[in-house]
Amino acid sequence: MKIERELMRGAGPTAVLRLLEGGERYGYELVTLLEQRTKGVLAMGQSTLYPLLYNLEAKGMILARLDITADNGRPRKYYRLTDKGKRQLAADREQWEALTTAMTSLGIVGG
Amino acid sequence: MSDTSEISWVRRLLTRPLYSGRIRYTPMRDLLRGRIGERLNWRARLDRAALSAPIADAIRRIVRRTRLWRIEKAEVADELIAHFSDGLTTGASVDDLLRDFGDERAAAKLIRRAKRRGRPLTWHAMKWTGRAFILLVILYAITFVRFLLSRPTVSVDYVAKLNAPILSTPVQDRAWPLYRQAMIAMELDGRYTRVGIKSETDARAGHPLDRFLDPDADHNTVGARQLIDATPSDAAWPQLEGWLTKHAEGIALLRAAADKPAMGFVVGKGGSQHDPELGWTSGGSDEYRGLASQTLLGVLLPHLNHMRAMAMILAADVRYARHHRDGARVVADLRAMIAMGRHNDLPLVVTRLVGIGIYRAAFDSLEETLANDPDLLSDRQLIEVAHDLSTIGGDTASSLIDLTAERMMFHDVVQRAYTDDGNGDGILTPEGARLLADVTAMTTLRGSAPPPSSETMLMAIGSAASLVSSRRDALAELDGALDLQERHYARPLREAGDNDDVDRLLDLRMREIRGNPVLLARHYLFSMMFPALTRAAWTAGTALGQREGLLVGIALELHRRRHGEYPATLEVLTPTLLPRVPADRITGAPVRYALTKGRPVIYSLGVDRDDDGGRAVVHPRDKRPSASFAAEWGKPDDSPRYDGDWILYDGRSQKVGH
Repeated sequence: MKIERELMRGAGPTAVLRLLEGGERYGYELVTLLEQRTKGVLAMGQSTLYPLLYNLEAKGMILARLDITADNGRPRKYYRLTDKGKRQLAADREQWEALTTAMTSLGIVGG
Repeated sequence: MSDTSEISWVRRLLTRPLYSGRIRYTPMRDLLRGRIGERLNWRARLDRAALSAPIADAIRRIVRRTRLWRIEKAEVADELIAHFSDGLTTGASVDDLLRDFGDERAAAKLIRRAKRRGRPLTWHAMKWTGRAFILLVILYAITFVRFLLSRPTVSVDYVAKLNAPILSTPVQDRAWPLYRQAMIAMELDGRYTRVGIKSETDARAGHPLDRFLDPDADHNTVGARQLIDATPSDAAWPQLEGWLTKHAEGIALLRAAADKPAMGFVVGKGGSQHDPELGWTSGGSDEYRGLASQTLLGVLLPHLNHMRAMAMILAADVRYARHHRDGARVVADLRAMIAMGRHNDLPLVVTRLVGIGIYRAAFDSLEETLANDPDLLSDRQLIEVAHDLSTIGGDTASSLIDLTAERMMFHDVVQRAYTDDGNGDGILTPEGARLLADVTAMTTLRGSAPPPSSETMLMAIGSAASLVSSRRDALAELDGALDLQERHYARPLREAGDNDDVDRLLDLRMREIRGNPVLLARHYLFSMMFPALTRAAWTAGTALGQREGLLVGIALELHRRRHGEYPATLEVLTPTLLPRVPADRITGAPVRYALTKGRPVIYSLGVDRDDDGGRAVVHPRDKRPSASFAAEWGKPDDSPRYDGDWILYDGRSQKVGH
């Protein structure tokens, strides 16, 4: 199912921060995990992921590290969550929980 | 190793292809640290990645389209190389990878936006500063073009407005034609005028009374001013008598002119100011005044100095008549002088001040007559003169000073300098800038820094068009200042407080404006045009005080004739000879009266509020008694220099200069 762009705009960054909560990851890895764990719902175009990562980096929520000893022999950029990113993730989580509860009470979500 | 061999070694090193290429691809910060690498050579890394051609081309296109800095492009390229390499490693096909990646243009745009967000704060600051600068340049350009394209709308002919009452006077009732005949008959030098003197040649045109000098004398030992002020005890008296006798016809014309009900001096081009027979041609002045000559400001009043000079001639004739015991002639001259003062009724400060000066000359002549020849004039003659005196002015300075023409001048300049949006507002125009340059030239003192040329003024105004006052603001400022002055003039000076307060306020405002370039740009018109009104209220106030003193003096003389002595108090004179005892213009109490050596003196306590029995202050400059030096309003000042009274009428035989 393709999520509308406006919804994706709010969900995408949160999803990426959540994936980075478990540890540092590289770009393609994030693409794959988003596809797999959300069953394609939050599969954003790969051309969108990197700008999203750069935006999060500009806001100080994630930090990049260049690893020149990647297993394929090529340098690879890894991203990890910063303290600010963790706080943002916590805040986003709270908002999504509140939103889900509200939608549930309206009968839009859940049974 | 020699210097030349060192240089050639370095040159060889730097021009080696590999070395020069690596430097080219090294970021500056690395170069400064001595680290030469190829961080910026993402194309080489792309080639070495051995990705398929479609993917490599896509990466090249995306990176190129980002239009980012070289180091940012290198980072993006490395990331994309890694991304597609990882994808191929996982077994995805080239087509799948390219499809899943998405639109290249959109990707480049989003990447560019995101990367620019991550740039340093200083870059963002410079970016916004640059945008603000460009915006300012655009706004300035718009303002400047708007300024260049603007045109004023002249809707009111202020010269015609000022002339309307003059032209409505029947020609036979106008005094000016007779005054000019008198000038010609008395051979007064018409070329002299204070305004417009720009050269030594003009300055040598001399004083209107230079014709007093006898051209046939071996040498002229007496200046015109000394001659006209000569008294029977002076050596120059016979020369003055001779002149007055020779020009009796001219003096008769003067009296006839004074007898007319209105002045009738038509202002403006084509009016009375253009009189070749008197040597008044406006051509040179027009060139001198430029665009200002088209405004009310450009109106010339060359007759004013001659009116003053002719009043002095009448004052001399009073002395002559008194010397020859001709009371009728004395009265005719006095009444003519008073009428001449009244004829200077153009509602312009300079004209009114000339009128007040002529009144003062009449007052002095009358006072001298009453003091030195108290029996010369008959009762009827004294009453005639008293009647004329009582028509001069009223209680306040506003009865003598009128700022109507000043206000019209401002409005005329504004309408010729500004556009009119129909709502009373507008912006300064290029013509207005030229006009301001001409006004500046008119008001700049000779010897001062040369005024800005029209072109300079145009560029200065145009470049600061947004700083200059709007039409509404300029008028509000000018009118507001004039309203302040008029309110000041309409109050008795003792109620208005220090009569210099308003002058000082305006003077301070002028200094503030002229000391600040931004304020000067904004209030330029006001700073150039507002007239110098310093002491105008004082001049009017002291003249009115002297007039009141003379009325009391005449009443005292009439009483002396009827009762053989002067009264004990002034109240005795009321109401038969005096409607009421005048108030001291400084204290508000009745004026003081004293008899000194059997002769009366009427006086005000003066600024020190101390009764000195009618003793005049000794002027600090010329060390002579000055009747009006103590005439100051405001807080009492008992400093030694004000020790004395303000003499309103001195019936003692010794003349006190006013």
